[in-house]
Amino acid sequence: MTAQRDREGGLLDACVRALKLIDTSAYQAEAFATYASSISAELEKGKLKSSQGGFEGGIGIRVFKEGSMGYAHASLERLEFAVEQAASAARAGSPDKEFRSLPLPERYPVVTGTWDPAIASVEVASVAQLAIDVADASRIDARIDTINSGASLAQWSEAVVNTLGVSASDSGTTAALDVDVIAHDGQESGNGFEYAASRHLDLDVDGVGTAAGEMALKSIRPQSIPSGKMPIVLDPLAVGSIVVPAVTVSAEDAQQDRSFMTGKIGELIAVRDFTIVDDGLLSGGLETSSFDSEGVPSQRTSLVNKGVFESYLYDSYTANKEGRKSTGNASRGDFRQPPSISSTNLVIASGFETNVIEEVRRGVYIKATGDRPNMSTGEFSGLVYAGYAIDDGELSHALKQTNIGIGILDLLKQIDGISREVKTYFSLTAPTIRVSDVSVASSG
Amino acid sequence: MIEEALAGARERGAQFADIRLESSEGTLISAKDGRTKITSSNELGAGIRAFLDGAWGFAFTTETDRRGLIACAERAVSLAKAVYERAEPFSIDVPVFNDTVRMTVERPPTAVSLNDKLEYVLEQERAAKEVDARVSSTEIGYTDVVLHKIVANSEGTFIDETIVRSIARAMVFAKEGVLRQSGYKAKGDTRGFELFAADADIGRTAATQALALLDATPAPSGQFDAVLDPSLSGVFAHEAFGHASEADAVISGTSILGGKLTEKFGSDLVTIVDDPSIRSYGYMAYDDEGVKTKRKVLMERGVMKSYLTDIETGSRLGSGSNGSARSQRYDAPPIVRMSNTFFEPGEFTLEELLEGFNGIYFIGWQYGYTTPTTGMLTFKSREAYVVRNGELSDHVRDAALSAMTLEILHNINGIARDLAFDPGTCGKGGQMTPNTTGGSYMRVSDVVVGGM
Repeated sequence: MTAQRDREGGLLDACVRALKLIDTSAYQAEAFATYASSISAELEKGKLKSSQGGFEGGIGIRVFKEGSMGYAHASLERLEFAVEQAASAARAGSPDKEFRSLPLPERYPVVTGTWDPAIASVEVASVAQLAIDVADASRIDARIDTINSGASLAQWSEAVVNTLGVSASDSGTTAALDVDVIAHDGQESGNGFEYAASRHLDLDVDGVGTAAGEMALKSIRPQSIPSGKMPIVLDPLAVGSIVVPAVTVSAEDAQQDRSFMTGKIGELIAVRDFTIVDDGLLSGGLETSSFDSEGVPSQRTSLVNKGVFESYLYDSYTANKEGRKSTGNASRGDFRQPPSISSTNLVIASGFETNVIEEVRRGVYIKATGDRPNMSTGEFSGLVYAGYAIDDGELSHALKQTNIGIGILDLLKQIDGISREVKTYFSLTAPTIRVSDVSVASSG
Repeated sequence: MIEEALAGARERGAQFADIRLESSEGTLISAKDGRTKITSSNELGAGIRAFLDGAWGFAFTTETDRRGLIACAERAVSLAKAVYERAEPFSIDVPVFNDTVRMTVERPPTAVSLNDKLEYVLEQERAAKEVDARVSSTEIGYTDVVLHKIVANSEGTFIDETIVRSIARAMVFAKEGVLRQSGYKAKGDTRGFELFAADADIGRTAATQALALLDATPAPSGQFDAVLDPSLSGVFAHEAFGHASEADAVISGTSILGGKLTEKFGSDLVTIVDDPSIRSYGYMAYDDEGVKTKRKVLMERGVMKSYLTDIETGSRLGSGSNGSARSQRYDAPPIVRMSNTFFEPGEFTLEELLEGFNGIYFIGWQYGYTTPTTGMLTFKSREAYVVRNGELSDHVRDAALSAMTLEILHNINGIARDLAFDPGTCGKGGQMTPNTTGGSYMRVSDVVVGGM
């Protein structure tokens, strides 16, 4: 633990040094510093192809003058420069009387499962081996002849300090795997993919590989289906694309009246079986931290409870505007960006069904779509880019050129089945969800 | 210093090494309903690759002094050594270029005050709000960057290039009763602040679009004929064809266009080009491997002519690099990418394309994506009209079009004369790059339209 404690100490020092350069009678300011290192390896067509590694440190300075925000980032060695640039940007911007204050110091909760020493000390050869192992695991059938895979491990430390006394630091690790395979059968081919990520070096390499292989085999010979209204079943991955954006609404969008969810707090928006929580404290969660990226304590926020819409996601600015507490949802990719509102770990409650497709006579199973709901109108229309027809309670052929369309509020009320089993994809843990009566358009 | 790092990599066993040393200075301004955020961005860093018998090691650093670069080169070699024994061996042919390219712009962003940039942003906001009382919220973004890049390699390439890039985007929301809609317009180029000469066009255009959509109904779904406006034709070129023609996907066996060179699967009207040498948002004189860029005809009158290649894929396919390597920043390795991708214009006018037409007329793009492995593609328009016998009737929103690459290019049966480009951002392998897409009005038969 000492190496990353030392690193956190160094980052805290850098933040403190930067803020000393600020005239606190005229400005409020915050410094956010990170140090991250990563190592990864890739396989192309079953052979090792490349490996990458590097480390990067930097500091982002956020300065407020009468609510006008200036931001600048630089490497740790050039923090004076960043402070100067951020302050002049703050002076140039328009004052904002809605800005009250940066966060004040608070006690932080203890979180667990975010650091794995095995990742921190890993060698590139082990990362390459992970990529090889997942490729091997996907080769479950002779028809699988093209395998591309990758593995990456990362560790980072971060610190956030502001001129009102907030001072926090943390470190974390992640491991991630991905595999993409193609199966050929004569002239026909099918594509399968799977990925997994964890804070620990405990990835289910065999499970990931096998899932991709099975998906590729199942995807050979995609066909269209007759268009019409029918039940759809959403894989946890598709739940993340279609349902999650609609119920993780930033308070900023709500306050500016941009979202169809504006004004719906307290309303029954979904079936009673639907519950989703934003949990920044989830043990071992990919987005778990004891504080958010402006130093507000992380928390567990109920977004939809038994069908009732309970909360937007807040940072300190939007919370102050409503005179309430931030939900700890300020987030940033790295030191290059000022914070913006984003969910942490999302958990959708599991249901009771052991098999959500068995009652479907004719329908569609959606594994993945690249589309998102239109958050102004609340409508979803999109392509099923990986999915299957359901016939008599079983998955049949893969789908070709099939689109679905439905209003999100209708979708949430038409949920008529939720699986007992849940799956975690990155920061989302979700069950499989069945929705009745959705319009499906296919080229058939 | 650069030569020393590259020589060090060779001494340690790399057969080839290259370096990108980048520094950049940029400004980002966003205004959301009057609340401004101004970000000043400064980057300095280097990425070094080492090649050994078919394996690549890539390392990056922000320590760009002599010691930092030498250490980074050593790391790149040891990363390559960690994988090369289990790699597929191949060799690479590296073309050598030496050049200095200084982009000239009328108003370099570094010489324009923050106040002038902010004033432009606020002017878009004011203009959008003045269009109509139903304009409920605005979000205007402005970004400029001056990027200085040195690309050098162990074969003797040394390219010193400066690029200036500016873009502004307006997202405007309108509300009437419980109906909400949004409109979008962007303007971007490899130009300085002269691009934004005193006008309020993007704010006003986005506002007008949002308002027009308030009375639009959900799009129908099913199989239709389609007419696309130039912005959607451009996205179509990019998604339907561009991604699958990237040679890294061909080599890794994940492109539907693998083995299709010289085959005809487009109609005679279809010529698709990727050309980084056009001075546009996706412009670059040299690519991120220091190879001079050029116009590449990917499909000519329906026949597949070439892939987009970098040094590795060009060597493995035997065609050589055609200058298509790009990376997001020094901390990511270059991969095969598009730049300015477009359909060559045809002979028709929009009026001729719509004459007697029955189907959907798509206007303005939102986004698109594709799976090169299967050739399945989709993109979504901002607005559309149902057209009956050549007459625009129902105004509809969020119409999506989906198709299969190998089938749909056959179905293009009319392309208009006027070519227009749109700036955008393309994501691949976690890296974002500035691109443009272009085309003219285009008519396509038998597409799947996804609506409500």
